[in-house]
Order: sequence, then structure tokens, then C-alpha cells
Amino acid sequence: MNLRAMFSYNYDDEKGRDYKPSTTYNGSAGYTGQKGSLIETTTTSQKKELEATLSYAKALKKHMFDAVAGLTYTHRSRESCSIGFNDFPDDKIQTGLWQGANFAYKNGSSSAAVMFSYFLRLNYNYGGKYYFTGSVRRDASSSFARNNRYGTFPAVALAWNIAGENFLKDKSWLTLLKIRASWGLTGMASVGEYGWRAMFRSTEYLDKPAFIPRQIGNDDLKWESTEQYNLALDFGLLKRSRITGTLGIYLKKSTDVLYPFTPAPSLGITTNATVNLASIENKGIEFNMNTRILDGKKVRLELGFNISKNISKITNLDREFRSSLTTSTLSNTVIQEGKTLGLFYGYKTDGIFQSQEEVDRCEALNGDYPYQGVSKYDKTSPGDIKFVDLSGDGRVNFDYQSDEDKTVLGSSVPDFSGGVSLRVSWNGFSLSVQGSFSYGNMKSWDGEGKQFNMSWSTPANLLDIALKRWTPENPTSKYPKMKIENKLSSYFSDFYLHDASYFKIQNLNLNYSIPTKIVEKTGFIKSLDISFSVNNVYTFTSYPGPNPESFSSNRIAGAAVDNSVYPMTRTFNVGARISF
Amino acid sequence: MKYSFMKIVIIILAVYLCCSCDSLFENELPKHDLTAENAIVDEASSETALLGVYSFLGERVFDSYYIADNAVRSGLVSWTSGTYAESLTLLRLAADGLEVRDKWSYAYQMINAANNVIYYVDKLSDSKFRDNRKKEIIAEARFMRAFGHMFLLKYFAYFWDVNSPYGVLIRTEPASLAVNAKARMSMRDSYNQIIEDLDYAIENGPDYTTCFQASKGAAMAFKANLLMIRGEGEDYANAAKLAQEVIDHGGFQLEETFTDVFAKDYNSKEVIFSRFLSSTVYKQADNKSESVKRMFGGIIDYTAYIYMGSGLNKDERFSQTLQNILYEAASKDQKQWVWSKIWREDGNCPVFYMRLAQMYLIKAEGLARSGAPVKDVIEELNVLRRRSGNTELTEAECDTEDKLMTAIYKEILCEVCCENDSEWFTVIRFKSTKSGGRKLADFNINYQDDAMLAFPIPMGELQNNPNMEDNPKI
Repeated sequence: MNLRAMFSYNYDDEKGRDYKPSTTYNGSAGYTGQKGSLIETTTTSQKKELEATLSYAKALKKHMFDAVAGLTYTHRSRESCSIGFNDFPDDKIQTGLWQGANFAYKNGSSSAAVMFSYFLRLNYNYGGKYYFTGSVRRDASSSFARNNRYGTFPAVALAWNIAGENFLKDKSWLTLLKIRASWGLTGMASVGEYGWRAMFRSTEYLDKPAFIPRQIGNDDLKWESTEQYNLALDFGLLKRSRITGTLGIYLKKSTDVLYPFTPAPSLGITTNATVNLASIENKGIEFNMNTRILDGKKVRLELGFNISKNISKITNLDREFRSSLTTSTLSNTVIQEGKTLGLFYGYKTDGIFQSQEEVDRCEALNGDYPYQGVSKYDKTSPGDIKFVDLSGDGRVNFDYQSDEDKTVLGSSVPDFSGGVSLRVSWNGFSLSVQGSFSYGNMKSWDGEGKQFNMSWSTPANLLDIALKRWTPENPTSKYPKMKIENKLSSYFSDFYLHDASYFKIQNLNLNYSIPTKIVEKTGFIKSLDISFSVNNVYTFTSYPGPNPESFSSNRIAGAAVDNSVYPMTRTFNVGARISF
Repeated sequence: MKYSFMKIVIIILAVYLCCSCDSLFENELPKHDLTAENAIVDEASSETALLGVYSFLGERVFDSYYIADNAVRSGLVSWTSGTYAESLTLLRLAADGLEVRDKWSYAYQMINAANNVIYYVDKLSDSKFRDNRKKEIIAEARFMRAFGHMFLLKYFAYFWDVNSPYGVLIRTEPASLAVNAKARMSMRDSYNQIIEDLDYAIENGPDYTTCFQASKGAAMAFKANLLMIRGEGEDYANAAKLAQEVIDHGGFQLEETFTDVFAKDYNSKEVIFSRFLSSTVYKQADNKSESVKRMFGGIIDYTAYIYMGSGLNKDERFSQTLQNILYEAASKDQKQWVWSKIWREDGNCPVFYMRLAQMYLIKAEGLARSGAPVKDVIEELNVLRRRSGNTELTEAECDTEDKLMTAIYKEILCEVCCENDSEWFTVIRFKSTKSGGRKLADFNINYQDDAMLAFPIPMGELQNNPNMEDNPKI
């Protein structure tokens, strides 16, 4: 029996000083004569953590048993304060905060959270062949309302080392064969310290202090939990495990997924609220394999390969929040009950209007409305993108709430994805190459619409595809014409959707170790390695945007939209490692 | 097994932690922020929260825009420039426009603040309050909730048709996710809900002491005004009765002369309800549209008095408060036309949401519309005409219905124009002597059908409130 307790205390004090001299644009308030500006920030964070575990291990012949029980208590707090003054006597010496003549800025925040958990874990194995692990933990976080503070998360795992059985022992072609199965629940608390509380902020009236609501309370806010089933087979084949690999399948069900929700303006609260939204189900299959094709002393050749396929499904959508998600937070994607995440939603297009006759034909379809426009002033002309009227009423309805001409346009989830690696070494040279691929996913190139839109408010540089735009002289272009404040480019359509399948050589690394015999002649160098590497070597893809791999931190948007402006950088490194 | 002293201490500590974990969490209140638990706990904090509700009156949608928007929509005043001013005149507003969004957003922020006061104050025990103060605070908050809903009714609802389904989206609970999706009420239910709040304020509100906070009298006055806007069945007669009650028992007092009202401004006992302009705002009045000063110090054109064309500029009140004067803004070269009614050099420009004079106008019109003798009607109007130095109306001058209604209508424009949108409701309620349709058509040629009288529901609301229905498209 072993009892272990640990208390740790972290105190972190950060001071920031941001002085902008009077010679700079910001320091002079846009060259209006301001004499420098200074903001000083102090941030203090504290973390107190108490962890105690009680462990016990016992071996009885072939029965191996150990257990751990424990608890942790964590208290985190953070306080931050910024003060700014403007107009200093000079830019070099007299720049103390108190030497600024005019108060300019204040800001600050204070937050704290408590997390408390206790857990029990049991491990058992019989003769190195049968394994059992069981655990249960209970977590409590002050970030949730009283009734939903606790989450209980059990897990069970079993493994059978088949290669350890007598009937397979000493088979030289089989070095490893193991089946693993597990089930478990995990919790996630990605929510602000006071995400569930109704909060107020100060204001004034009658020159007296007053306060008004700032944040919606949400007593129903609770742990997001993920239930996960795994089944895997590990194998090692041939002498010295020349071939190793794993084949696994999994099922993950996330329920009460935490998501920032935009309240209706009529609630009278202007900040987002965190809510437990839908349930997401992910299932998939993963396979990876490594082979040492050549395994000599001088020459080695290793090849690795992995591929996976994941299918996600929204299973428990709260209808009430549906429309806000489809139209506001993510205007381009729709979340539909029973469907995968990352569905694009918008208008279908059918190329470019190439002639006035074509425009006239469409305009004649509906007597009351223009074919594609909000008001009668929105005229369509040759060179415009041609939207498709799905409802068949002779017009493309761009009204805010109207879904009649919108449809699911595709999915940003790949059919499968994976990676390959290759490693060759020969006589001190070694070369490794890594690549990744993804197949069958679509991506919206955010910047494409802007290439054909002349904005008077935010003009920007354009890419060369703007040169290929529709013009009367180039009437067969697949790109639309250039327009000032082009409204049509603001309606999300499949025009900007592209197949984003790719194969990418991520990096390449070449290394040469100069033989020790040569190096040692110098008398003082022990080894010398010279290396050359390239990152982002080359991407094979038909996707026209800057980054086929783009991924958003927004969990529901995921890989749907490519917001990148610049292409990914390619880096080259040359290096030498010398040891003495 | 051996237990050292330390081990025992740790075990005790662990057991203690397990047992007392709930109390660990209760202490995790934000250190420097008010929350539901500690914000509204006694009379003093209830008063502070109540001031929070009133604080929204300092936003520009309840200031300069409040007095100007509908005068422009009426076609009675023209704004010199700007897309928003133009769309007001055209009676076509964009659902994603900043001004449309702001009106909606600030009105609902005010309503939510009121709902929080009503909800949390109601939960406190009576013993925490002096006398009747608990009920008074709730009454004031309910008045402000009604004020917010009336503001929304004016811009976003079909107030002219009590049978319309396009009423107000009424919010009567503190904001919570459970009520996020909510449908608008019918116009009839909207009126009833607002009147219910006003009735509570009439019953329980405090007596009048200041125009910066609601009183019983203010609630009566706003109810009388709302009944005139609804105009169904006994509404006109009841409005006239209520107006008389405000005159008799509201605690307000008519100033001796018209100019006195604007000389005394907020100190006038004629002012029923107004907003307080914080000293920090009016110190920077030249840069803040909230102060009204900047808005009228140049933005409203002096040629604006389209409605003065029909002889109204002969009214004494025109020269007393409406005629433009030239104000030297920065230098003699930068003179600006200003409107002396609302313009104050120190920036503390008055915005009167309601003053007693309007009760005489409501009474006169209410009587006229419920079949009272002409003599009684013009007596009310003459109260205001006398004190502003105008000749009194005679029965002979108002011997037909048309003439009487025109007299009332002109009186409303001269007395309370650019104060609280009376001109807007007036040009919608009164019939044109030329066409027989709404008088609005006489002034604003862009008016074609009633759908143009309501703003579109802001885009954000339609996107985030699945139960909300937009107004019919123009």
C-alpha cells in the first residue's frame, strides 16, 4: 500500500508594458500631435492543486493486481488589469506611467474556478495474457450550475494477448497478436468560469451608479460527455516484427456538445451563451502498418502507411436552435438531424450568363420579381453568376428567411484520409519522406468571391484569376465579371465550392552522418551530421484555393471553409550537428 | 500497517474534502462582478438596478432619433443628408441597417433590464423595503417595460390595425435560453399586455416628484396616449377621461406661457417624463448625438417646416421655439441653423417623452372623436392657445367636422412637434381632407400602402428567433 499526497502552488505574475513613441502612427494618434501612449498590464494567475493517491499492488502466482484511488482539487484564479496614459514629456526617459498627462484607457478582468475529482482505477492481468482495467471518476466543476456540477465517467478495458497463448507460443512468424476492447465515458468542460451564471455590469443614470444584465444564466449547462467504444487488433509478423500494424474500429457518441449560442436580439443580451447543443456520433475505422522491407546492417528501407475513415452523424438535435445555427453562426453550413457534420448549404449555380438572350429568357420567367435579385433595381446582365431556381417559381429567392432555393451542396468530410511514410538509409545516408492525403471532401474557398467584387470600402489586391474574368471579349469564361459591390458574391453558393482532395508531401529529410573514422581524425570532433529538409514540399490537388488542409477552431464548421489569404509557406532547412 | 502522522492528516483532509465539496463551490462567486445571487438583494440594490433600466434612455435611439425619426417619416421635417434619413423619407428601411438594429436591440435590452428588476425584486421579502417602495419599484420597472414595448410598437408593429397579427414581440421574463424562440403577439394582445403594465403602474407607482423617473401620473398619461393610438370602441372617450385625470391629479402643472416650458426645461412641472442626460455626455455634447445638440445644430434643415407652409408659421409658437436661429458654432464663418425648441448651448438639450400640454390635446381629440360638443373640444385647445399668445378658436371656426379635426391637428403640430412622435401618429390617424385617405399622403409622397408604416424586423432577430415572423414586404 502506498499513499502519496502532493500539494502544488503556482503563482504567475506577468507585467506587460506597451509604449508607443510619439513618432509612430499610434503613439501620435494618427499624427494629430499626441505625445506617445503607454499601456501597462499586470496579470496574476494562481493555481493551487492538491492531489492524493492511495495505491495498492498485489501479485498472487499468475494473478497481478493493482488499484489506485485518488482525489484532486484544483483552484485556479486569474486577475488582470490594464491602465493607459497618453502624452509623455519625452519618448526615452520620462515614460513612467505616472508621467503621462492624460488618462486614456482601463480594462481588467477577474475569474476563478474550482475543479474537484475523485477516482478509482483497477488493473488486473493473468499471466500476461488477459488484461482488465476498470476505472471510475467523478468530476465536479464550478463552471456548471449547482445541479449539474458533477459528472461521473466510468471506463472498462479488456485485452487478450493471443500470441501469449501456448498454442501460438514460439511461432517465429507471429511476434504479436493482441485484441483490445474498451468502453468508456469522458467529460469535457470547455466553458468559461462563469458560463452558467446570470451576470450584470455597471452603468450609470442620474449621475448615480446603476447596473444592467450582461450575461444570460443557464442552470441547465452541464458536462459534455463522450461515450467511446474501441476494438483493436495489434499484430507483429515475421522475425523481429518486420511487419507491425493495428486495425481498429471505434464508435464515439458525444452528447450535450458545448457550443456558443447567439441569442435572439430580443432577449436583450448581446453576448453569446454557452449551451449544450446536439449529440454527435462518430464512427470509423483506422488501419496502420509499418514494414521494414530491407533490414540489413547497411541498407534499411521502411515503409509506413495509415488510412482512416470517419463517419459522423448528428443524432439529437434540439430543433429549437436549429435555424440560428444554419443561418447566423455558420451561414454556409447546415446541421441536420441524422446527417453528417459539415454539410454545405446554399444556392446552386449553373455557370455564367453568357449572353443577353440567356438573361432575358430567365427574366421572363416571373413577372413580379427579377430572376435573381432582392429588389427590382438588381439587374442581371451577361457575365453574372447564374443561380438555379430550385423551387420552380421563376425566381431565385434571396430573402433572409427563405430556404426555397437553398439546398445541401456537399460535405466537407472526406471519404477517407491518411498518411504514408518512407525511410531509407544506406551507408550513413538517410532519407525520410512523409505525406498525407484526403479524398472526397469539398471546401469553400472564402476569398474567391472577393476576386470579382470591387469594393469601395475595403479594396484589396486580387489574384490572377481576376484576369480570367468574364468580359465581352472573353465571353466564355468560367469566372463571373467584375462588379462594384457585387451583391451576388455575398450569397453562398456552390460556385465557391471545390473538391479539396489532395495528396501532399509534407516533409522530406535527408541526412548524412560522416563516418566516424573520418571525423575522428580531427581529434576533437566525435560525430558530424549534415542534414537538409523541406517542409510543405508539394501538394497534388485540383483545389484552387490557398490551403486544402484548412481547419477552423469552430468545432462545427471544421474543415468547411478556407479563410486563408496567403499560400502555406514552404521552408527549407540546412543543418549540421557536431558533437565534441 | 504503520500510519505516520502525516498520512493520517492527509486522510482526514481527503475525507473532509469529499464531504464538503459543495461548500467549496459556493465560494466561487466572481470576485468583482455582480451575479444573480448578489446583485438585487435589498432596497438599495433594487434602486440601483432600477436606475439601470432608466439608463437605456441615454442611448441615442431614445434621444435624438426618438424626436426626429418620425417627424422625418411624416414628411413634416426634412433631414439634409444621409442614407438613413433618405430611407426614412422613402419609408423603406433595410432590415440589416444599423439604426433599425439599434432600435430593436436597445429597446429589448431595456425591457430585459426591467424584467430582471421585476423578477428579482418580487422575490425579496417585503420587510427589506420601506413602506410601499417594493411595489413602487416594480411599478416603475413595469412602466419602463411598457415604455420599451410602446417604442417597438411604434416602429415595428401594425399599431394602426388592432386586428392585425403583426403585433409586438412581448418579453415579460428575464432573458433565458428557454424563451429564446418566441413569437410576436397579435396587435390586440400587444395592446392589452402594455396596458396591463401601465395599469399596474397607475395602481402602484409612486407619486410624481421628478420627470426622470416614472410616476402614477406618467403611467396614466402614456395610457391615454396609447388609447388614442389604438382608437377602438370606447378608447377615445376613455383617453379623454384619463387625460382629465392627469390634469387634475397627476401632480403636474401647466406653465403659464409656452416659452416658460422651454426656459425651465427639466425643472418645469409640466414635464411628465423625460430622460436624464448624464453630465459626462453633455460635457462632450458637440460630439455626441445623444445630446441632441449636435443633431439639430446643423443636421435638421431650416427649410424643414414643410408643414408650416399652410399658415402654421403664423402661430406664435413658431417664432417662440421653432423658428431657426443662427448659432455661431466655432466662428462667425461657421454659423449653423438651430432649432431653439430643442437646442441648448450647454448641450443639455431637452427630450420630453410627455408633457402635460399633450393631455389637453388628447382630451380635445378624444372628446371630438366620441361626439362631445364642439364648445368642449375647443375649450381644451384654447387653454394651450391662450397661454402661447394665440387668438382663441371660436365655435364658428369649427362648425364642420373637417374644420374641427383640422384645428385639432394643427394644434398638435404646433404644440408638440418633434417631441414624442405625436405628428407621426397624427398623420396616420387623421384623414386627408383632399383624398380621404391617411393625411400622411399629403406630406410624404412616398407613402403608398400601410406596409410602409412599419420597419422590417431586424435580420438578426429572424435568424436567431425561429418563431419570429417578419412584417409583410413592401
